[in-house]
Order: sequence, then structure tokens, then C-alpha cells
Amino acid sequence: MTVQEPLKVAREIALNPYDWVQDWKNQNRRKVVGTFGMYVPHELIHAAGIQPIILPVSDQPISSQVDADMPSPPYCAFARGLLAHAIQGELNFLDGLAMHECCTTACALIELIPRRACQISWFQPLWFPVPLHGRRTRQWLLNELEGFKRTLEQLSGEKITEARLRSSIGLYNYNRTLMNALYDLRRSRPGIISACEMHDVLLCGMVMPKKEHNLVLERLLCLLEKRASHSDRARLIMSGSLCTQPWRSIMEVIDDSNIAVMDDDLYVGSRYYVTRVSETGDPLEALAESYQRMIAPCPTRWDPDNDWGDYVVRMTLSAGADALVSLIVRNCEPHEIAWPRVQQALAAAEVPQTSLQIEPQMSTAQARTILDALAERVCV
Amino acid sequence: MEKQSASRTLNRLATARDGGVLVAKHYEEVNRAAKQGECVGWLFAESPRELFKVAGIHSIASGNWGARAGALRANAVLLEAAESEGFPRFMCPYMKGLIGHAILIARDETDKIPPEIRLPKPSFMGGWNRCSQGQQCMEAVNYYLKPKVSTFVIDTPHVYDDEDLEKVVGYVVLQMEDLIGFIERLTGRPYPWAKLCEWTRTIRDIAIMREEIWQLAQAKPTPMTMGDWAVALGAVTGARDDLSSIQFFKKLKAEVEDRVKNGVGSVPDEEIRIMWHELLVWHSFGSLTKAAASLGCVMIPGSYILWDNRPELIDPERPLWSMVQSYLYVMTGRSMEYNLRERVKRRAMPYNVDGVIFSTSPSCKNFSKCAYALKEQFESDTGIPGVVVSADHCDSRFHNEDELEQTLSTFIDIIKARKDKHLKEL
Repeated sequence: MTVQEPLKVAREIALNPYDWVQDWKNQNRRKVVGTFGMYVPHELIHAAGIQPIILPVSDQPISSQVDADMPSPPYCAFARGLLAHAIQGELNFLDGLAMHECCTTACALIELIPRRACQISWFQPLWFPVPLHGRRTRQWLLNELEGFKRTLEQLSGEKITEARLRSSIGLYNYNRTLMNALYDLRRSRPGIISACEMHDVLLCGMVMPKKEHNLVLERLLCLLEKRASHSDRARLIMSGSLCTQPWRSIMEVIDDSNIAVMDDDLYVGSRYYVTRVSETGDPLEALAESYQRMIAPCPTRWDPDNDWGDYVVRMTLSAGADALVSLIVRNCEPHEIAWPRVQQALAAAEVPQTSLQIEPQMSTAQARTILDALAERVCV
Repeated sequence: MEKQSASRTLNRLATARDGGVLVAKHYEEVNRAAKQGECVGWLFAESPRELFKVAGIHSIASGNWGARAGALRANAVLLEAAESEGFPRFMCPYMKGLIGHAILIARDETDKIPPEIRLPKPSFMGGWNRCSQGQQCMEAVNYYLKPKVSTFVIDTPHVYDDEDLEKVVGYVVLQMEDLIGFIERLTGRPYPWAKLCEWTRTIRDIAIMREEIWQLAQAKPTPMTMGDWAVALGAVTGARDDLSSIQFFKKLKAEVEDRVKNGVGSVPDEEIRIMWHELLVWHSFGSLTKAAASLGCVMIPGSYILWDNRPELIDPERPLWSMVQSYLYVMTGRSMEYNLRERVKRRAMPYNVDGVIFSTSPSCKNFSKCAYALKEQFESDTGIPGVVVSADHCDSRFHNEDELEQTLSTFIDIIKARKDKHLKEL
């Protein structure tokens, strides 16, 4: 077996994630719940015997219905794309949707998707506290998780026992261990995995059952060791793309430029994997705890002592990276408002940086020019 | 398009202008307090400021300050300062204006800020996060202020199902009880609960009076337009911590009663009533209401301009519960079904409106979301036509006044044509 085999598995899923999930669902006769908005606890969904997936968004053209419901500005491309999927019926195979109102755009989606895609009958809006600390927010969070647990049990017809939830947490933690090992490998061996390949592995991990993804990762980690790294390339950190994966076309541009991605700060990326959930004690409390002490600072949350600028500076320096590129989804309000301060923190630390406003069908030529210029600047 | 009639001019209420004076006085008071070394807070998004004023702490609310800055067309220098630091073009101008203000404080360039909107540096900041930009704006302001100031955020979850309201209100009230400790630390004194109850009683009396005015103004011809209400809104939100606003509302009610008694309308030969739902275009509402008036159309207020007044939700014995119920959760944080039922139909139907304008702003998702779906449902349920318009509510720099007035004019033409057709069919 060569390293191409697990990468091929990941790529095939990443290129047609919805088709793959539908096939999987039909073969395994299991329910599937899609999630949007960060921090929906997939372990809880899994413990109900349901497969959770983060909803990927394609870069297809947007219809006039979407334009009317969610004009741009002010709505971001991810939300518009997701609404487009819903209206086109591409989400109808799902048994339900769980959506966390992580920003006002998510709130609009929570109202519009059931209205426009009425075939999805199970719909669970979630509110996790914006201020991360405090006893009141902990109690609300636990109540919200308890409520979510009950509705999942109703959907699946299966009881989520403490043992089942602990087992799901253990499975997801092992997935985190493997993904973090892959991240470590990428940091220590620049260019050992391309941006597209990493994108495929990450996206595959968002739709594939964790047990199967773990097998892919185990094989990949073993076989990747034999690959050569590329120490002559510009070493970059990718940051941003807060809610779901950036489009593959951007990764293709990165791979075409003289760049090796050392680390990332993406939601479908390190943010999803960096915070472990405790496997001891009450498992719902453990999920609440992992949310409240999330390691990666989030501009949609209130945690003034955890500064995003400082975080990405530390990430850049500890990875030995030369520069940072921020992928800002056009009209992503939380990112756009936070970016000036992050930029200033990078400037103060003398970290070269640039930003790309990403959106469907964006000009890859322009992105290429910007990235080539950054790579040239740092490689001098 | 019907030719505008020069003889149809808007007959504004004399008292309404006093609302602007009341608000100006509030900001003078805030600046005076700061100069005397008193505590002044900047509060973000919908914030029941009476919670602080009762304890002797002055504050400004981003919504009231920002709207006024936009209405006075005085905020460009602040928005440009924020944009020069990289803040986005499409961001709430209320919030961006405060960030810009903090930037100019940091640069020691406050002389560039028009005096009528100039604020003192805050002693503390806080907000109820009904608007997701609020806490981000606060972080940004604190980044520029040196030294940083104390901050708080009260978590206010969205209510998708009305059955969850009590649970959500309970959670918010608990956090506000904790906030009392923050206020006591600021003042060094026990919190004056009895005074807050008394204050709440007056706020309820004002709310009752406002509701009575709204009911009186249903008369045909209506004595009071959206523009009059907009100026009065300043007295509701900006002077919420100034109980002398009760005198303003008594005077306003008397003038409205007099007009109703004498059949005096705001628009001579009123033919059409259009309700403006959601955000007002602060820098242009005057010219819009005039343009409508010249076509025989009166613009009547929707729930935003009324700050969806609900006196039945104000209980002087439960002041914190009242603030959450009657100030925070009547405007945002509710489902589309609630908005349609309570905020659109409840305000439109008693006025027998001929049409509804659903206003959206490219820089405010909070008050713009689901506008098209809301319009569709409203039309389907009532048969009354609606139109969605987009105009920045507070940033006049890129505003196309002609385009908005053209849309309004076309909508009025459509309504008139339908009315004529209906009459002919009868």
C-alpha cells in the first residue's frame, strides 16, 4: 500500500461529500444529522447512534431566492451556500439539522432553512453561552446539552447512557490524537502533505464516521513518514475560515505557489481538534468544560483574556513559519471585525502576513498573485 | 409615477422636536458628569440603562448615540477613523462609530469629533449580547483605550420557541442580579432597589402613555407620522434614565389629542398609509416622510420606531424581569413567527395600512434578517402588499437617496393603482 491509497479515499469523499454520506447512510441504515455553526458537540450525536456531519459548502452559483433571502452584503458566502444547498434539496437526505447560533448569520439560517427546505423534519437550534466563563453560563450550557441529549434520544430512539457518551468521547479523542499527530508531522516536515491533501483529510473527517477516519489516519501516518519534505518552500500558517472548510480551489492555489503550510487555525482544521474532552467524571460536564476552556480563541465568544492575535503569533513562531495568511470569508462579520487587531499583533511581532477575502468563484489568479508575492517576500 | 404635489407638505408635531432637545440634554449631562470625575459607561446594543442611572451612574447606549450621530450626519469622521484601522465597510455604524471614537481618543484627536456627538472616555463598558457585534465592538474599543476598562457581557439567548421565553428570561435575570454586584463595586454603595422599583413604575406610566398616543394616532387623518415618532424614540431610549421625559410624553399626547379632536392630520388629504417596518434610515427619514407626504402618503411607524412598546410587560415589583421582557425581548431575539405576529401585524392592522416597507440594512443583520420571507408571509396572510428595501441605516456616505425615494414612489403608485382597480370593481 502506498500513501496515495488513504489520500485517494479522503479525496473521493472530499470531492463529493454529500453523495458519499448518502451512500453510507443507505448501506448502513443509520441516521445522519448535519451541523452548522461551530461547537455543536458531535460526541453527543454519535452517542445517540447517529452520524454527525459538519455541512460542507460548495462554491456553486447562487440562485435569486438565496439572493433575496440572504443578500450579499451582509451575509457570508458559507451561509448563502448552505441555504442554496437546502433550497436545491441537497440536504433532504439528512434526518435532521442541529444548528448553533454562533453569529447573527447562523440565526438567519436557523429561521430560513426549515422554511425553504421543509423536508428536513428534525431541527434543533442551539445557543451556547457567548461569555465563556461564570457559574450562570455553566448552568445554562449544561441545561442546553441536557435538552439536546433528550431530543437526540427522541430522534434515534436510543438512550444516551453515560457509558455510551464516554465511549463516544474516547473515540473522538483518539481521532484528535491521530489528527494532532498529523499536525505534528506537518510542522516538523514542511510540505510532507500538500494543502489539497490536508484539506481532503480534514473534510473527510467531518463526514466520515470517526472509527473509519481513524483507520484512514493510522494508515496515512504510517505511510506519510516515507515521503520527502520540502524545506525550500515558504512556510505559512493558514488562519480563519471560521465556520466550515474553505473551498478546495484555494488550496490548489496554495499548492501551485511555492508554499508549504506548516499549521492552521481553521475551524475545519486545528480548531476542531485542539481541545480534548475529559474522559473522567460526568461526560456532559466534560463536554461543557471543554467548550468553556476552548483553547483556540474565537471572535464569536467573549473571553477577553484569550487573545486571537497573541494566539496566532505563538502558533506562527512555534511552527517556525515565515508568514501567515488569513482566509476571510467575505462578509464574515466576526472575522472582519477581529482582523485589524490580529493584524496589528502580527505586525508588532514582525510576522509577515496577508489576507485573502474568499468567496465562491473568486479569482484564483488574484489569490495566486497575493500568495506568490508573500512567498517571494519571505523567501528572500 | 404620479407628479408630486407641492401643496401637500408634512404637518409635523411641534412637540416632537422637544424629543431631540431632551436627548441633547442627556449627552450634555453625560459630558458634564465625566468632567466632574463621575463614572460614565458605554453600553452596547440594547441596554436598559436605568439599571445604572438609578445608582447614580451615567451611561450612553450605542443604539441611541449611533442613531443620533447618523441622523445628524456627524459620524463620517468616526467611521473613516475605524476604517483606516481596517474595520470593515459593512459593519454596524453605531458600533463602528464608537470604535472610531476610541481610536480618535487614542490618537488624541478628539477635536475632530463634532461636539454634538463627542463622548467622554468610558469608565466601564458592557452590554447584553442581543447583537453579536456588541461584544466584539467592546473588545475593539478596549484595545484602543489605555488603560483598559472593566467590562461585562450579559448573555441573552435567542428565543426560537415562545415556550422557552420564561426559561431564557430567568437566565438573563440571574446574570443581571450578579451585575448588581458590579454596580455596587463601582459606586461603593448598596444598590437602591426601592428606587429602581419606583423608576420602573414611571417607565411603565410612560409606556402606557405612549401606547395611548399610538392608539390615538390610528385616527384618520393620522396626527403623527413616522418622523414624529422617530424623534420621540430618542426620548424613549436616550432619555430612558431621565424621568423628566414623562413631561415630554404628556405634552405630546395633549398635542395629538388636540389634533384628533380637530381632525388635523400630518398629511393633508391623506390617501395612503404605509408602515415602515424595522430600521429607520436615520440620515434620511425626514426627506422620505416628506417625499411620501407630497404623494398623499403618510408613513406610519413600525415596532422598531415604537421600540415595540409593551406596558403590560412592565411590573414595578419585578424591575429586572420587566427590563428583560419589555426592553430586550420585544425587539430582537425572537422567532420569525413572533416577529410577524407581534411586530408586524400587531402594528400594521389597527392602522389599516395599505402597504408595508420591510427595511433592511447591509450593515445590520440583526434587524434585517428574514425580511424577504417575512414580507412573503405577511402578503400571503393579509393580502396587503409589501416591498423590501435596502439602505444603510446610519452611514450616509454611500446612500442613494433618489433610489430609495424612487422605490417609495413606485410602491405608492402600485398601491394607488390597486385601490383604484378595487373601487372600479365594486
